[in-house]
Amino acid sequence: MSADNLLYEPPGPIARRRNRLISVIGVLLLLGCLMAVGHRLDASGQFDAKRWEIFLHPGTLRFLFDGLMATLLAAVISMVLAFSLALPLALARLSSRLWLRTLAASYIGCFRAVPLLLLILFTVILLPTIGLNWSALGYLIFGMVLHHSAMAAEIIRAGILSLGRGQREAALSIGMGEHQAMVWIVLPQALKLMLPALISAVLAIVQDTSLGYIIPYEELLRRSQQISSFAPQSLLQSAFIVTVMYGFVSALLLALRRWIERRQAYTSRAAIPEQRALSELDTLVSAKSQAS
Amino acid sequence: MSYIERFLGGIAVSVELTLLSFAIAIVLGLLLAIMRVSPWPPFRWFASSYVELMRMMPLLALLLLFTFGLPKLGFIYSLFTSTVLVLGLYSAAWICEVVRAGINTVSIGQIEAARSIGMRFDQILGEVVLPQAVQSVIGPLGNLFIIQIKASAIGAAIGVADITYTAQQINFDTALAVPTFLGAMAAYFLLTLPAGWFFRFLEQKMAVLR
Repeated sequence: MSADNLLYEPPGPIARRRNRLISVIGVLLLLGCLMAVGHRLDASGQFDAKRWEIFLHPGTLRFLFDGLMATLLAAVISMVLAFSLALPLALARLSSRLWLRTLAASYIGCFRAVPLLLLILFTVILLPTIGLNWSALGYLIFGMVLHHSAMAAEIIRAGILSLGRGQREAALSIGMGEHQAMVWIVLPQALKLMLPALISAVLAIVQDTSLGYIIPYEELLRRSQQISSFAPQSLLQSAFIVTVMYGFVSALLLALRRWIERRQAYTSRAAIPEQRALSELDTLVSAKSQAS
Repeated sequence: MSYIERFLGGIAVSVELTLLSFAIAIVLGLLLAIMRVSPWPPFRWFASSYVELMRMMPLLALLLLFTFGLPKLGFIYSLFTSTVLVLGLYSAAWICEVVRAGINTVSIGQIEAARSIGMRFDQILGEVVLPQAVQSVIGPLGNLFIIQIKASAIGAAIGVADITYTAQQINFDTALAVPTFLGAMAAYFLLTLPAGWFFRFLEQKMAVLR
């Protein structure tokens, strides 16, 4: 990341004074907005102790914590299944056999083009008609795996393609087979390159489990809604606490991603900042969460 | 066939959701991106914390907060409006990231040249950097637009009558799950494919050899 290609000269004394003025105005504006929001919240009594006391109950916290665990459980299972399906899909998509390539491409095209919400809704409707009566968790995971395996396959494919032909050709020229070259030369390097994008995909998976809300699967978001139907005065408070819980998990993943990116920045071959920015642009969008 | 008509109604709602929210997202996202590269620290902090906050929250959580939470504070919007607002606010963070990455693709020599002839921040950004950033940003923006079409399905979770919601209703009425599902899929393809072509066309038109 080249945040240092400044779009302005280092300020002189006059400009520094002007910048300070603008900054102060900016801070005042922000504070003003925050105060207005705070006043609004206060006026409707959102800071009253009685709206928060339900969260002092160990039972309530336990209830939310179980919700978080359910969210993580769904996310981890979906992630493992989706990623292990994505690798063969990506390889099939790059295969030299036409039928295999077409098959993988149409799978990926179909499930990437359809909103995850629609997929999950109809998983719930369609699977029982062919005799699969699963729990809500099963339906959620099924829909998530269909969608996110297609997403991850595209990330892996992009990673393999971004490696450049030279690596594979060099492997072939020293007598490795097509298969060996892929397993020993191309994939290890490509996986390393796409690690940040894959972590973003994990983040998307964690956040998308919130769609379990509609099935309904008893995950974190659903639990917070239940608390607010049980204690309607605490609706905003439970939303706030749940946001913090999602934020905590997301922040961990984002920090992991940043750590990996920093480590890779040392070894990255794309040392030219513009090129790095271009590849950042690619990975940014390819990993964006779909329905949520 | 009234079912086809209902699907067309759903498509219209999805298109409205997408276009309105994407317009909000573009304006807000561009503003945030400008803040992020500006010489004024508070604006930079605000923009980056906004983006972080939006990335940390599931879209559905934000939507439920808007639809159930804001009325408690005396802000009452229709379900459609709150879906548009939430989608716009959420995607603005992504557009900001894309624009910022696009700004970084402009070679540093361009910026140094502009600085050396004494251009101000707004001149550099508006006349040198952004026009060049547009061509590398247009492809990713197209992807974001297609993602926005799909993300608009989130409205169905609170009962906005878009494609997904319509499909669910038709399935309740007819119990023909498979054709309804295929119909909804076709409806989404009907929107995403032309959008993809349009943005690819734009990208080709703007391609500049460097």
